[in-house]
Amino acid sequence: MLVLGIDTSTSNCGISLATETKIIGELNFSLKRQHSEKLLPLIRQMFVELAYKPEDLTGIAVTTGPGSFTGLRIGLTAAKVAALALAIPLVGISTLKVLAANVNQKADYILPMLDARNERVYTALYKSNNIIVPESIWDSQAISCQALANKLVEFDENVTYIIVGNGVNIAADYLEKKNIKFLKSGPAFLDPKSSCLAMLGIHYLQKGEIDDIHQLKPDYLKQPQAEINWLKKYEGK
Amino acid sequence: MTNQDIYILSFETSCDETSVAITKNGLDILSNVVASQVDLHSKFGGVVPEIASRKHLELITPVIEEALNKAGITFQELDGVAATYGPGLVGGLHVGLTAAKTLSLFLDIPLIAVNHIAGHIYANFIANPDLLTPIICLTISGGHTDLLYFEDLKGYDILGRTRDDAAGEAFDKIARFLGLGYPGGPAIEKAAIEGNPEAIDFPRAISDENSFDFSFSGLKTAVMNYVNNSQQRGEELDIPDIAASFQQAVIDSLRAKLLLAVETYRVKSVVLSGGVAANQHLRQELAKELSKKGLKLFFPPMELCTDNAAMIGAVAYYQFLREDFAPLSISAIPSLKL
Repeated sequence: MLVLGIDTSTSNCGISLATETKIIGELNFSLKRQHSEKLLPLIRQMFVELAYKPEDLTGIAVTTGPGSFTGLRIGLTAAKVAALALAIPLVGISTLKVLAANVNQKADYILPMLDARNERVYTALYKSNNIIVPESIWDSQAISCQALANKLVEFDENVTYIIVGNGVNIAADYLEKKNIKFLKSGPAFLDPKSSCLAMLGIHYLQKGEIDDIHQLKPDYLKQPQAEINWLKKYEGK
Repeated sequence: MTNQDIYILSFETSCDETSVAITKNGLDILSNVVASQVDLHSKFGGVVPEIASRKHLELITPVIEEALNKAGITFQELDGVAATYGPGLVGGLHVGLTAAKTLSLFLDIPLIAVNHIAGHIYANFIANPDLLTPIICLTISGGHTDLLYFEDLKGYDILGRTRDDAAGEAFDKIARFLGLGYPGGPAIEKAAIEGNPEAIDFPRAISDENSFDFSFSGLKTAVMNYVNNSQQRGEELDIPDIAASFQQAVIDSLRAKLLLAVETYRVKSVVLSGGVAANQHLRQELAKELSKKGLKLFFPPMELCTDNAAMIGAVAYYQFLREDFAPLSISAIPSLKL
């Protein structure tokens, strides 16, 4: 099995090539707004440097969010169209799960979080039961830091949470005020790792957990602003 | 035996239509699938970029598959892949352009980046392959109002363009203002059928007689002022009359500059392009005036007037022949000009 991982869900533009037993190549570039210009040239470069051809691929894994709306669409467009053109299976994986999968130290719970602006984070809760696939406890959600702190107190205030992802700096103050015990991971854990994505992809593809190329779409966790405004105005919601 | 035929798959995702076409040798359309999102945006009175972008991503692979199936072509038979890279809404452009780049890399075929406005013009050459040059082209849509001169099909000079709003933009804004809905072009045209085009004397922005440029913001303001003043006086609005008079003012402005260009340049054909070119009343008025000068007005059939990928394929073919290929690093340019 040879799987291409594509992650453009955050400022990180990440691609990777992996087999069941090995990460063959990985690029993670912090790019801000240039994913559309860089993604395809970087994929080509990776193939050239590693002397592989696109036809060698047997599967594709892509992050489905949450994350930057534009970034998600670029990654998902590339992944879906490539899978269609090569007629190979595609699997979409939560950006938060990819972040959580990067944690390999022993801990009760892993709390990946991404900055969702306005003192809000995209987060989910995972239990670390083995080093490849974290077990999902909470689904992905957009939540205010305050509400998240309250929710964690209710969930379990006596455990230590490992926090990964770029939302950590936004939420830390709120969690400290509620005396929640957590470990803040360092800069290496702020962005998703495309190698983790590829390994998760191989795991799911081996189990036959494949997504429908036409149906797979981003998990935006937020309605378009125009839709929110319209509902407020006309349906009082 | 060598295969001389050139098959190109093209994407058009610059606004609210997700379209993929397969063309053979440029002007031969094997398939031209257009998935319109108009219904999604109508309640907002205009295209919502974020909603459009989301829908483009959902539609892109089903539309590719349908275009290939209808054409009876496989990915492996493609010689090139093209996409609109501007002008348009950046979120939608990203989807089509990224899809094209992906096919270019994964199928190892050249990438061709096409200007959307050129697409609208070349839609004419699909419908009328034996057009005689030189040509004057009036291209009018929601984003542009350009008057162009083609010595031949290889290139063109821009004679004039709008100084403010595009003609289609004026239609959309006035339709929304009058509560006629979206898209504005067909809405105004429909409302105007029952109206008197001479009922209200709205301004024609043709004061600058030596210029080929257009201007529609003054007209837009005049219509809004007229409606507001009538309402303040408690008068009942005659929507068909307002729509017909507004439409007539737009047509008169366009006709004046088009005729000026026709008189200035010795042209053999005049073509219309862009979404507003679908307006029947506009076509009739311009055709009538041009026939007096012994000229025929060409315009694409309805299905090629609105945004579609076949017209992108037509431009792409000529770019393919002169190896005008784009690198995988090319960006979408929302404000791309001709």
